[in-house]
Amino acid sequence: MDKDRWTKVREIFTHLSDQSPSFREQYLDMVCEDQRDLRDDVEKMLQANDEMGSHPTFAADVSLEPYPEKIADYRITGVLGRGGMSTVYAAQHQIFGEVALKVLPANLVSRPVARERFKQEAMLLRKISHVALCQVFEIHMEGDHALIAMQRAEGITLEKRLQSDPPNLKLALQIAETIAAVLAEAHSHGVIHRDLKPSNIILDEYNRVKLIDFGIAKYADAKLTATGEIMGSPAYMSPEQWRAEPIGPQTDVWSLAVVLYEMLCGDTPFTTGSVRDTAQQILGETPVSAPPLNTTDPVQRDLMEFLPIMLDKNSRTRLASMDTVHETMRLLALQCG
Amino acid sequence: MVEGQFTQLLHAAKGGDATARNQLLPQVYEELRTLARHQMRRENAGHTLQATALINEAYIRLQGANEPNDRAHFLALSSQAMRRILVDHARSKNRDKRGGDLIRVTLVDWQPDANASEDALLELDDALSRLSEFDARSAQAIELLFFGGLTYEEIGQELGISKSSAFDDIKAAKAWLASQMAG
Repeated sequence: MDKDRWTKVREIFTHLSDQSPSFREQYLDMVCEDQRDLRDDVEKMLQANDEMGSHPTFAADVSLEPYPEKIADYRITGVLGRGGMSTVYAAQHQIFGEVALKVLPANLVSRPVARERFKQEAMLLRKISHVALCQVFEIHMEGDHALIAMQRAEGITLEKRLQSDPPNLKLALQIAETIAAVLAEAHSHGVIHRDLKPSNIILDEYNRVKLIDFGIAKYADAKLTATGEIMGSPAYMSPEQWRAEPIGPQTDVWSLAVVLYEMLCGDTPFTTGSVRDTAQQILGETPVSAPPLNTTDPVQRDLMEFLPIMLDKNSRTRLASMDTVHETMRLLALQCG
Repeated sequence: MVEGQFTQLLHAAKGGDATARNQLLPQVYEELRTLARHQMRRENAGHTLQATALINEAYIRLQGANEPNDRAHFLALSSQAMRRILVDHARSKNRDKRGGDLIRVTLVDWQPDANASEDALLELDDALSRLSEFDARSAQAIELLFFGGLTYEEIGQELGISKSSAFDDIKAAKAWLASQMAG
């Protein structure tokens, strides 16, 4: 192995070591293309890494997974979700009642990087307060435990809602308005969400919105962001995230625009199948075209002008003020009557 | 060694003084080997020897009654010597299959099959040498962790990188080593 090749192998390995098998697969398809031996090297390392017991399991249906009866003062009643870095349980607490309990798995508690990342999420969750964010009840990081107890968001994800009962124009704008307000608040604290997508947005039966999962959010001025790891979700990731370039508020503006586009048109501007195709479209020269909306409607016409500004491929010239996005969404929603 | 001389040399070596380092290394090596031999004679055959415990004992003996300082740097220096001692021993043991001292080592973060201890150690040493050809820093980080028992923080300090960089180095290096040694 020579140095250049190792640099490549190592970089890909580091990106993927905490990712799910499906994400790894898609990412490898994209970056390795037909370099079979590069892919082999990375895959062997990933396998060896998993076998060292540092990797949590990724089950297809988390609700069927076994779970502990009790963690600290919480009685566990089910599994809500599982990711590379944490498991979220449905739990009961004597005082807080029904909570979502985010827990760093035991095999990661002793790992400095995982612990630090988890702590950072807990700290920034506590810093930002907004009605569309789940309230944090308790952060517990002692001994073998690292957990965050927070309000449980009731409802279904926007991802499911888009399939079953897509929001109309007014509701889509209201959802975007709320998300923009939360993100503007986060940005004012120097926090970037980095992973905005329909599965991180929850709607209850009254269409009240909650933004969940600040799991990979980062402080804009943190050193780690400078070289930005690729950790987002392909279709919603900005060009700068694909290139592992520095990110900022405009990164969330991009992702919110993709989500809004999807609510309006039923599909993201990029989806054509494989991750590689998606990446090529996001990274390509061609500017993102305006959504195919109804030009006779003034609100839709405004959106056809505004969305391309949010989807400027150049992160330096893209709209970076979430406050402006918020205000625009608010005004457009009002005009919907 | 004259009382206090060791501390001085260690300090100079830490400051980048190559002469001091060259004077110190053979002494550390000697001390560690003597300790290992004593230990093996004392213990029953098949007993597990802890590399880091040996290094700690050597440190106390060399350091004498002086204030403990530069401990992390001593560990760093010793990890290299420890690796050489263990590998030499494994080689000579392999040459003389009829017996000799059986030495089983416990290294931090690495648990080879107890029966294949010697072979696995040689295999590790070989893979580690290959790793150092294209990523010297990660190979050194592994040496410090496995043979010296340094913490991530100490490794970072020793290599002049952050604790999280040390963690990333080691994670990738371990995965590569394991992928090489498995097949």
